[in-house]
Amino acid sequence: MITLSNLERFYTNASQKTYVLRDLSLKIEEGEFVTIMGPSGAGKSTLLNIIGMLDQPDRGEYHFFDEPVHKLKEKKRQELHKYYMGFVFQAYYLIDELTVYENIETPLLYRKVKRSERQSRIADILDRFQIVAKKDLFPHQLSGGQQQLVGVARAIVGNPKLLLADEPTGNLHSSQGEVIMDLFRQLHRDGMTIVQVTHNEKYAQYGTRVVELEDGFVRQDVAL
Amino acid sequence: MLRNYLKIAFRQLWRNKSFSAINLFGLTLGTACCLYILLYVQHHRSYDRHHAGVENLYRIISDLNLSDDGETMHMATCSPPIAPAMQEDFPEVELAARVCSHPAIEQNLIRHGEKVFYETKGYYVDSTFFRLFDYHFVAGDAPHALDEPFSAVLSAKLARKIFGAEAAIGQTIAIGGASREQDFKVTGVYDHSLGRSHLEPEFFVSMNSGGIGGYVRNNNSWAGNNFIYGYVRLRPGADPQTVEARLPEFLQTHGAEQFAEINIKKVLHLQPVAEIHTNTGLDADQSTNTSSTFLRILLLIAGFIQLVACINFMNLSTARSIRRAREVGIRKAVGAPRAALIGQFLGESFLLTLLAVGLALPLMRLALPLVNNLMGLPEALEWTPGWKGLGFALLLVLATGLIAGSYPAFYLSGFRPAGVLRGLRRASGGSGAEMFRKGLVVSQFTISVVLIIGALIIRQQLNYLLDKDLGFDKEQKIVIPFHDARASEKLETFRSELLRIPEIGAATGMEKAPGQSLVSDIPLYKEGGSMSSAVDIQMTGVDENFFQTLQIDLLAGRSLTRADTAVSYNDLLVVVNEKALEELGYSPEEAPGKVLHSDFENQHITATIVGVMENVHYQTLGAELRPFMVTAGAPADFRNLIADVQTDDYPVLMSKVEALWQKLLPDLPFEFSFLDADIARLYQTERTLSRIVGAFTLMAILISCLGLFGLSVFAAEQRTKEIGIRKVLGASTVGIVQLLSKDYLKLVVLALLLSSPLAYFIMTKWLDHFAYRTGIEWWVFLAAGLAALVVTLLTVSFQSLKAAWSDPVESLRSE
Ligand SMILES: Nc1ncnc2c1ncn2[C@@H]1O[C@H](COP(=O)(O)OP(=O)(O)O)[C@@H](O)[C@H]1O
Ligand SMILES: [Mg+2]
Repeated sequence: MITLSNLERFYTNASQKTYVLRDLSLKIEEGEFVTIMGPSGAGKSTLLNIIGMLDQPDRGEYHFFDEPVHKLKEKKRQELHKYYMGFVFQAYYLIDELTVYENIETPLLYRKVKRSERQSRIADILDRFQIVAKKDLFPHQLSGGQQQLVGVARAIVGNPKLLLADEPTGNLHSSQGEVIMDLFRQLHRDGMTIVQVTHNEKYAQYGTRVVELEDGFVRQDVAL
Repeated sequence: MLRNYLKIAFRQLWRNKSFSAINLFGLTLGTACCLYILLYVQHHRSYDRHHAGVENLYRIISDLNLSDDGETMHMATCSPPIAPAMQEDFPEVELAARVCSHPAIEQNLIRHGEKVFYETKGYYVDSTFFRLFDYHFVAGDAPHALDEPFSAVLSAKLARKIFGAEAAIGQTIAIGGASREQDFKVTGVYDHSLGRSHLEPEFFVSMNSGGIGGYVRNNNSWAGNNFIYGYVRLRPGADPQTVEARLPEFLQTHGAEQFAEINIKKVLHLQPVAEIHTNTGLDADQSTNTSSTFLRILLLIAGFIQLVACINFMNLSTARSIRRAREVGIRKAVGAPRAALIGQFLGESFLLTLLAVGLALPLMRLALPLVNNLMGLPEALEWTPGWKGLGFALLLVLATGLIAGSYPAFYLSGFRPAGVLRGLRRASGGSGAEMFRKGLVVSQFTISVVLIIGALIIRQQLNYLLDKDLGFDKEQKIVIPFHDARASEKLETFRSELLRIPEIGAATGMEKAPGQSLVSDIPLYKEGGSMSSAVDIQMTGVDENFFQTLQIDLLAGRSLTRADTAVSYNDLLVVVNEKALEELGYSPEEAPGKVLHSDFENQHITATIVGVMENVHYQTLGAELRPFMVTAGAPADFRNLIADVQTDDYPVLMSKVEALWQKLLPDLPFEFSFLDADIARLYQTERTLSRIVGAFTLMAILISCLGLFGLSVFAAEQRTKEIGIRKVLGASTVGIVQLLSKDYLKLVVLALLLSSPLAYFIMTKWLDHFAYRTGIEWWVFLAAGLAALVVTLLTVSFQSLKAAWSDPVESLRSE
C-alpha cells in the first residue's frame, strides 16, 4: 500500500540544514496496524504527515498503491489525501465553532456526500461511539476523551483506507486512552490500515508491528 | 456546503463581536457614504436621459470671435433664425425648437386674482417643444399644448401655488415680462416624474405670444442676438458630424453679409442634450449644471471611503489569522481543497458586506434629509430603489466583499496544514503578512491625510473667494429687484424717498447688480482702428450714485452724472475699468476724453471715456476678469437698486422699506436680498464640494481609526507576555505606551510623506480651474499631519494604556 524509499526531509535554519528524516525507507501493506515509536524530535510526526500527504519530502520516493505521490501535482495529492486518509491528532483539533455533529460532518461535505447519506453515516457513528446525546454540543463542552472520540469519528466517517493517528492518547487519562485504543483495534479487525505514533509501550501492543525511529532513521522494525 | 459556510460565518461573527462590530460599523458607514454619493452622481447623470430619441437630440451652441485676436467665447446659445432654418435646409434634421427668456429679466411676475409673485425659469418656446422633449403631462395635451398664441404650460408645483386644489386647465393667468402684463391661458400641467431636464422649467409659454417671443420670431440676425437656446433632433442614423461640417456653409448662405459687416467669427456646434447638465464650460448657460469633473471627484472619494473600510476588514482578518490558521489546518487535514477554503472566507466577507449594505440602506434613507441639507442641495434627492438601485447595491456588495475578503481568503487558505498544526504561532504571523498589514495601514492613512489636506485647501479657496477684495464694498448692502418696466418707472422716486430713512446711507439704481450675469457687451476699437482690432467690453447701465454707494475708486477722470444719461443708445459716456484700458492700449491718465467706436449691424456706436475705475470684480472669481464699463443708463432700464444700510435691527428697517414699496407699487410683491449673500451664492459648487469633502474626510478618518483601534487591540493582546516581562523588569507606563505606539506613529509619518506630494499634485490641479486662487501653504500639510498624529495617538494609546496598566503577574501566569 505504502512504499517509501530513501526519503529525506530537512529544514534550513540560518543557512544550516537540519535533517529530520534521512534516507528513510519503509513499506506498509494493507491491513497492517503499525506503531511508530521513538524519542521526541525523532521525526515521527513528520513521517506521519508525509504519509498523510500534508507534507512533502525534500527527496526520495513515495508510492501510494501505484501512484508516485512525489511526482503528483498538489491537486491530485489532495484528492488522494481526501479519499484515502483519516487523521487523528494529539490535540483533537476539532473546530470550535462547530457542534459535534457538524465537526463529524465536515469531511463528508468536502467529499460532496449527499445529505441523506451524510445523515445516516453520522447517525451510525454517533451510535457506535455512544455519543448520540452529545451531538449538539460544542467541543469546549466535552471532556478530552469525548473530544478525541469525536476526533476519531471525524477521521473515519468518510471510510478512509488509512487511519493516521499522531499520539492520539497523548493528552488522555489511561482509561480514556484505552477506549480509543479499543476502538482502533476494532477498526483494524474490520479491515482498516492504521499507522499510529505513541510513546506508550502498552498501546503499541494493540498493533501488528512496531517501527522505531531515531534521528530520522529506522532503528528497529519488529513484527508482533 | 453553503449552509455550513454560512453557519460558520455567522458563528465566527457572533463569537468575535468586537471584530465584527468594528468591521460592520466601518463597512456600514462606508457603504452609506458610497451609496449617497452614487445616488447624487446618478441624479446628476440622469438629466435629460428620458426624452424619446434623446440620442439624436442636440443643442446648437456657438463659438464666437468678436475680433481678430480676441478670445473665443463658447456660448450655450445661438441666433434666433438658426434652429428653424436648419430644419428647412438639412434633410437630416427632423424637428427643431427654440427656447428663450428675456435676457434682461431674471424673474417673471405671475398674477392670478389676489395672488401675485415672481417666478424664475419661465421660457418662451416654439410649439414643437413638447415633441422634442418629453414631459409627463398631469393635464392637457402635450403635443398641441402650445399651438395657440398666449398658451401657458405650468409645472405641477407652480400650478398648485397658483390654483391650489383647483383644476388649472382653461384658467387664465397674467404673466409680466419686460413691459406690461399679459394674459395667458393654461393649457397643460406637467411634473418631473419622467426625469429632470437641464432647463429646470417652472413654466412655458408659446413663442407666438408677442413680447420677446414675437421679437425672436421676426428676427433675422444670423450673427448677433445670440440669446436663443436652439434644439434640433436628427433623424435616426444621421451623423451629427456630417451635419456640423456643413454648418459653416449654411451660415454663409444665410448671413454672409451680416458677418462681413460686423466682423464676427462664428462656428456652430451640436451639443448632445444628454450631456448638457454635466458640462459647465459654456457662457450664457441658463441651467445650473454640475461639472462631470466634480462628479468624478465625488466618485473617487466614494471609492476611497469604501476602500478604507475594506482595508479595515483585510487588516483585522489577517491580524486574526493566527486564530483562523488552526481552523485552516484542521480543514485541510480532513480534506478541504483550497478552493473550498477560499469560498468559505469570501463567504464570510460577503456575509458581512451584505449585513453592512442591509444596514446602510435604511440608515441612508433615514439620514437622507439631513445629508441633503448638509450638502446644501436645492432639490432634495429621493431614494427610490428600483431594480436598478437594488442591482447596484448588489454590485456594491459583490465588489466590496471581493476586495475586503480577497486578501484574507487567499492568504489564509494558503497555510500549509503540517506547518500550522505544528507551531501555530510560527506558521502564521510571518513577516510578509506583517508588512502587508503595515502597507494597508499606510495606504489607509495616506488616503485620509490626502482628504484632510484636500478639505483644508478647498475651505481655504472658498474663504479666499468670499473674502477677496472685489474692488467694491459688498458688506451691509441690500439689493432690491425691480422686475419689470412698470416697477422701474418708480425706481427713482423710490430711491429718493428711501434716502429719507436715516439708516440708509446711499442708494443707486442699475441694470445688473454685481454677481448677476452681464448680458450686454460691445466690441469697441480706438480712434483710427477697425472692428478687427476691437476689444469686447462688457457693460451695464448705472446711475450717478453707483461709485459712491459701492465705494468704487476712480483712478482718473470723473464719475458719471445725471446729465450723462445716454440721449441715444449710440452715443455712450462710459467709465471703463483698467483691464479694458490695458487691452485697448491706453494709460489711465490719457484715457479720459478718448472716444471708442463700434460698427454693429448698420449702426455706428461711440463710447466716450469720462473716467477710469479700478478692476472691479463684477462677475464670479471663477473666471478671468474681463474688460468692463459702466454707462449712465436710463432709469427705465434699471432692474436693481442697491442701498447702503447702517443698522443693527434689520427687521425694523426692512419693514420701513417694504412700507415704502407698498406705497409706491402696491400691486407688486416686495423682495430683497443681501449683496454679500448674492455674491456668496456664486460659489455654491465650491461650498458643496467643501462640505462633501469635509464630511467624507471625517468619515474616512473615523473608519481608519476604527481599524487602527482593532489592530492595536490585537497587537496589545499578542504582546501581553512581553509587556508583562518588561513591567517586571521595571519599565514605566510611559515607556510601554511609547513602545506600543511607536510602530503606528512611524506608519502615520510614512503616510504623511506619501500623501503630501499626492495631495499637493491633486489640489494644484483643482486650484488651476480658478482664475483667482489661494496659494498652497506649508502649514496645511503640517496641520493635516498633526491632526493625523493626534488622532492616531489617541486611538492607540487607549489600548496601550490598558496594556501598560495591566497586572504583569496576571498576564504572565495566563501564558
Ligand atoms: N516547520 C519546521 N521548521 C523547522 N523545524 C521543524 C519543523 N517541523 C519540524 N521541525 C523539527 O523537526 C524535528 C522533528 O519533528 P517531529 O517530526 O515533530 O518529531 P516528533 O514527532 O518525532 O517529536 C524536530 O526537531 C522539529 O523541531
Ligand atoms: Mg510529534
